[in-house]
Amino acid sequence: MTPVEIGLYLLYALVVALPLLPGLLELRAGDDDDPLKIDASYARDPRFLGKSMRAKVEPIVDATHGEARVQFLNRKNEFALITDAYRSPDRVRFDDIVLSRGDFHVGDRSVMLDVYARGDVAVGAYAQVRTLAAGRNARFGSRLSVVRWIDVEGDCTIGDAADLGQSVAASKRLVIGAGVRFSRLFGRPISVIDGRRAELHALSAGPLLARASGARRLVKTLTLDPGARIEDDVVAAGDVELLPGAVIAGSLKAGGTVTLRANACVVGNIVARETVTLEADAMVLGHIFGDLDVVLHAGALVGDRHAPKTIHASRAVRIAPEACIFGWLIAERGGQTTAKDSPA
Amino acid sequence: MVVALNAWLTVVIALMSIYTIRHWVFTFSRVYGKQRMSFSDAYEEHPPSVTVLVPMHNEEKVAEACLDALLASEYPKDQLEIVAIDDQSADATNDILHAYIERHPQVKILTMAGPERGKANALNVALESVQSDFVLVFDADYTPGRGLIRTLINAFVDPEVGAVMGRVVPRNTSRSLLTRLLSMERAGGYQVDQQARYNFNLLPQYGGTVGGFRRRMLAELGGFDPHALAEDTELTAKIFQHGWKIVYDNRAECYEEVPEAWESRFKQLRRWSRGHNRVLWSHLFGLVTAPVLTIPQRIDAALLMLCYAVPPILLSGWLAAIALFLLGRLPYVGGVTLAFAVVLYNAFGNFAPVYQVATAEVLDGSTTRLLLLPYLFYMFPFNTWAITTGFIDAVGDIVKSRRGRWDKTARVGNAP
Repeated sequence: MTPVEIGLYLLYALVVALPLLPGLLELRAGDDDDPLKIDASYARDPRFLGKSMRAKVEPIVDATHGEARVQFLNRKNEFALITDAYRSPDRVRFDDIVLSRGDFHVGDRSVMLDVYARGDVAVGAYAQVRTLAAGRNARFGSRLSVVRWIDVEGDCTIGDAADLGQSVAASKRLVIGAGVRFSRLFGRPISVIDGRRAELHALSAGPLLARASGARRLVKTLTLDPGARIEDDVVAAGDVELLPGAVIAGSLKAGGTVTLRANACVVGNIVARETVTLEADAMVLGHIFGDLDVVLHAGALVGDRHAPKTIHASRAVRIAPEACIFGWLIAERGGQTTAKDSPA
Repeated sequence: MVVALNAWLTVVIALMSIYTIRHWVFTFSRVYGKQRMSFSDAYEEHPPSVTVLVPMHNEEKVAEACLDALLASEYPKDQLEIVAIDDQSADATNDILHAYIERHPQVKILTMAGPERGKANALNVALESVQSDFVLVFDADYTPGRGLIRTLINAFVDPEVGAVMGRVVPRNTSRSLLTRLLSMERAGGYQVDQQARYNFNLLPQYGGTVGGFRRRMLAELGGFDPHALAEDTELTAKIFQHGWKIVYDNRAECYEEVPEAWESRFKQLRRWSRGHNRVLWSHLFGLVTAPVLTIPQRIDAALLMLCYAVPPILLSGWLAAIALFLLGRLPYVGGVTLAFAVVLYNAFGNFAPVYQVATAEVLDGSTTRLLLLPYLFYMFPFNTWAITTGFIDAVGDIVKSRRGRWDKTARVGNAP
């Protein structure tokens, strides 16, 4: 073998080995050799944010007496005002986080950062809040703007035309006005303006609650006659329409749209590849997962007082007044309540 | 002879091109496409009854960690049954389990007496006494997080879903070059491949180690084939043939232990290949002709079933090319065309699976380990040979109508 050939072979070996060198350094250094992080303690909870904040701030509140101003959770430029109760007139602007052992009341056009109150909360119209955790009931005026989230340990009422940020959750009743924009809501129940119509309707439908045996019926499309009842789970390749008063006692999967006309009912879950529409006084006692939109007309009801469920729309959710949802409402691309009976 | 070699080489190139395109489509779907939702967000205060089965054979190093993790689950205790199945362990597994239930009586033990052995048979026996609506199966080296059982069970919100599969994440990544490369392979396989198949409504696979199924559905399908070496692939095939669906939940992550020795990995791959190729033989025709499947699903079914047959086919293609070269009869396509084809294939063909792995790691936020990507090429011949030996085993099984033997993957036991 000539020196030139040897040189060429060495050059070839170098070219083959060169891409391996950075990896060799990483193998020795082990800069990125940890397993993918899984939070093993994590369990999904629609009120996780509020509970997490309470767990952090309550020790701070308990450790102080009277009024105090302290650095907040080691954040460099954020301070917390700790007080027994807080009440202020309109147009107050907070530069500090507020931690109140009692109530928290502010007037119209107030601008807040994070607020924690063990008592009741009342906020006027045109207010802005970054995060808020209330220990009892909370009431917000119209045109509220939430930057992140609100969590209420009690009833929560929010006026018209609010923008509810990432999430609003209440351990009891969450009542929201018309023209409200939201992403995630949780309440037992969530109702728009007034949900009593749907709740009363649900109470009168007790016998419907019997679930199907779990047998499965495969169909291409389905239009269920008025008053008809199917006891099985239904899996449809295309659209499904339940005419007034029709009932599916099991769960429903549709490759297309699902439309429940007035007073129709699905006792189990609905999973649809397209839009799910519940017309006036229609009822779904299970979960609704829609790959497109979910539309609830006046008096529509989802979930059950004793068994809250989830509405999950990959696109939008639109809800009319007097609709009512027990559980968690998630609109991936935003949701809105309307002023009229027909939200479509 | 030359004509036959040329024809075979053409088939091999066509097949590899199809898999290359598949890799690219999946990778692009994961990066730019709409990600299909799972049902993780289903809020359920009264979840259904669940039985968790943990088959064990010589699992003394990992058994307790797995059961501890299951007991720490936030799933309502009155709805959760945990059954450890001791499948004729020769080590201290049985003693460990009995000591364990002294402390934790809510865990049950099922001791398999024989003579049959293997995961599929053990699951069938255990299922005879299960009453729950849903059954989850974890391998003994898995340590599920607190919310994992609920996350997996949420998939059954959809009445069309017969089974669910979560994401497998290696725990012992830092132990050796092998574990680091396996971690990358797993990332590519789950974060990109499984999720993309789920995105496209194709055939995500039930993997049998962090997943579950409807008990009623499995009964309808006749249970597991007790002699199956890849009972998960076999169940996947049966599920889709009978009009059920499988949900892949990328958020249902669970740690596992990957082999730390090359010999152990070789045996594992060989067993997977042997089991998978036997399922290919028994279910390929049924899947590609299943009237309940769409055309894209049938194509994906064929490609999924063939994936452990591809390495021996590729190997035969290399041999055909070498033979034609030695015979001086390698097909002449034309200088520029050939050069173009070689450059294109090198850039986009050979690298397609590597881009898939790289994409997965970027999505996971693990960018420094991308420096190890070139090492995956050295894994390739190892995998090819291990899978080919499994393929040969499977052919022998089919020709001689013999049953395969379950080769246990050795555990190291380094749970956190």
